[in-house]
Parts: sequence; structure tokens; C-alpha cells
Amino acid sequence: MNSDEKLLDDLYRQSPQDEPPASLDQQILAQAQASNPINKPNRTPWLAAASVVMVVPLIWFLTQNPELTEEASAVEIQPQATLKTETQEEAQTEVPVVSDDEAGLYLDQAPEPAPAMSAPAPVNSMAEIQQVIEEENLAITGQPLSQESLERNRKQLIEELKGKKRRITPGTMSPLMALEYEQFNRYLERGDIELADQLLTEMQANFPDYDYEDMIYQLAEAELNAGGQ
Amino acid sequence: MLDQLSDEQLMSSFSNNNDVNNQRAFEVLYQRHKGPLYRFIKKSLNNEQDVHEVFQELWLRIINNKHRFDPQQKFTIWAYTIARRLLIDQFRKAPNLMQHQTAEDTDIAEVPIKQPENEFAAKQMAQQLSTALERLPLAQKQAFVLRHDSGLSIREIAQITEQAPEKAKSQYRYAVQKLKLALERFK
Repeated sequence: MNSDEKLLDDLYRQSPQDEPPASLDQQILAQAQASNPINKPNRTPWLAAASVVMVVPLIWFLTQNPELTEEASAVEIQPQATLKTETQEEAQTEVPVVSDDEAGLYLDQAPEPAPAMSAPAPVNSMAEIQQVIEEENLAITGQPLSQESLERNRKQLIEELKGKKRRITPGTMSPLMALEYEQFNRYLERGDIELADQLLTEMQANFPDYDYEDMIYQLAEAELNAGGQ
Repeated sequence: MLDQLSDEQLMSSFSNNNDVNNQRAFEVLYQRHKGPLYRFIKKSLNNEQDVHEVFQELWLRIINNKHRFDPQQKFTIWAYTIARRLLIDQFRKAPNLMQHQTAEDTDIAEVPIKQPENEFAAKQMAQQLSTALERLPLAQKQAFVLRHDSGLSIREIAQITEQAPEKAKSQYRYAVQKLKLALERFK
């Protein structure tokens, strides 16, 4: 700066320097705070390790004591038979209505018998144990079990997101966005693919609520035509 | 510590969700630039409510696009470019919002400025400067404010205003000469 500019600079800084009001400061800082997701520690590896530590010894114990699984299935059958007899007896007798003062419950029907519980199938080999461990790990770490499922979920997510985007039409664009849209088309007409690409990226950043699929397609088409020439 | 970081480093911290100082980094950045950005917008619009609206929208854009910010580029150029585009958008919606412009002079004689004799004179001249600044054409006023309030170079001003450096320099030169003339007439 020369001397005149320096003097103007000094005088300018002595003039009243407007600042935004405190209420505006607070709103903006709150918006910044809201944009930061709550930091959660990544516990996934610990959960996976914990599941292996718990499941492996249990399965090993069961393989070492197969008689436990056989006894369990035998014991479960008998109580169900007893229960069934008891419920039949209950159904034959009248059940008194309990008043609000006493319990607040009304028993006017015999309860349905509990569904039969099937005993777990005994594990016979280490290969089966390994398979169970792998499946458990996949489930806990949240990794997709199959690529087909991942692709289906991705498509569904894209469709849901697209549903929330606005279409680019003359009626939905702001004046500034309309100018940029016109500029984008001019770039494509002139064959300035790189400039069109940059402008599209800026538009996506400045106006994120719009669906840019058509413009992306136009750009891709222009690139293809440019490459073919 | 954070006060010593550059604008770009602060933006990088702010955009990093795993950085425990990300909110504090934004606060430092905001405190550093809120005044110059506010004054840049205020000198371009003549309605305070719209000034607040544009100012808030500007920072909302900065916050929402923090992950898209390229640390290789200057934060100030990025922020002022967004601000200028928002102003253009606002002008197109309501042209009467634009600050009143006077006709541009094509030829202005070089006039030297005399130093103020005392503190009282300096304050008077500062007030006169502020009044004269309000009367400048928008482009010249913005060039002056960007240079003297935001501390940007002519080249950076040219980038923000999306014009050739020569034109930005010319606008700034006219602004300086008109302000000097206003101060000289005041005496």
C-alpha cells in the first residue's frame, strides 16, 4: 500500500465497525454444533471379540458333554405334558372374577398352553462350530451376509433419497441457480466438459436439495461424444 | 492454540467429525471472519433484515459444505465468493435492495491526502470517509472493503468478483481516488 492507501486504511478502521448481533452469533454457532454428529466410540470390534469369547467355550462345552443335550430334550417333554394336564383341570373349574380392589385382573378364560420348545440340535463337528462362529461374527459386526442383499439395500436407499430431492425445473430453481444452469448448458454446447463438470460440482454443493441425475447424464453424454470425435 | 491455526486448518478440524475440537475450531474461525463478512454484506444491501438473512445463509452454506471445502484453496476466497453469489441472488429477487449507486467517473485527477492534524480531525475524517464510502458504486465499494476490511489482494478480489485482475484493480483505484477527493473537499 502507498501512503494514501495506508491513511485511508487507518481512517477506515477508525470509522464505526459494524458487527453481527449476538442473537445471530448464537444461531450460527448452534447450527454448527448441530452439524457435528455425536462422537460414539466404535465398539464393534469389542463386541465381536466378546461374542467369540462367549460362544466358543459354550459350544466346546456342549460338544464335550453331549449327554447334556439329550437330557435337556427329555426333561422338556415331561413338563409340557404336566402343564397340559393342569390347564385342562383349570378349564373345568370356574375361575372367580377378581375385583379392582384386590388385583385388577380378570380371569375368565383358561390360559393357552405354552408352545412346545424344541431342543437345540447337537453340534457334531468342528466344521459346524466354525460355521456358527463365522455367522455370529458377521451378524454382530454388521457386515452384509450377501452382496445381493447389499445391492438391494443400496437401491432402496437411493430411491428413498431421490424421493426427497427436488427436480430441476424453471419453476423450482432460484434465479442464481437458473443462471448457473444456463451456464452449464452453454459449456456443454461449447464442448467445455471440464468447466461444465466443475460447475456441476459447485451447484451440487450450493444447492444440495436438487436431483442432478439428468445433468450428470447430460455431462456423461457430452463426454462420450467428445471422446468419439 | 487454535487461535494460531490458519483458516484452512480450522476448516479441516471443523469438518473432521472425530476431532474433539471441531466445534471450538469453528468458533475461532467464526470470530475471526464474522465482522469483515458482515460488513461486506451490509455495505452491499440497504435493509438490515436482509443483511441478517444473507449473513446467516452464508454461514449455513459454509457449515453444510464443510466436507466439500478444499484445504488447498483459501477460506476467505471461498467464503466471499459464496457471499457475493448470495448477494447477486438477493439483488435479482429484489433490485431495490441494492445500495444506491452513483454514476461512475471516467477520469479523476490524482489528489493527495493531507494527514489529519489531531485526533479530533482524524475522527472527523473517518466519519467523512464512511459517508463517502456509502456513496460509491457497488463494485468499487466492494473492492475497497475487500481490500481494507478483509485484507485481500487485488488478485484475490478479482477471483471473488469473477473478473479480470485489471478490472478489479481499476475499480479499486477509482474507489481510492473518489474517497481521497471526498476527504479533500471536506477540508
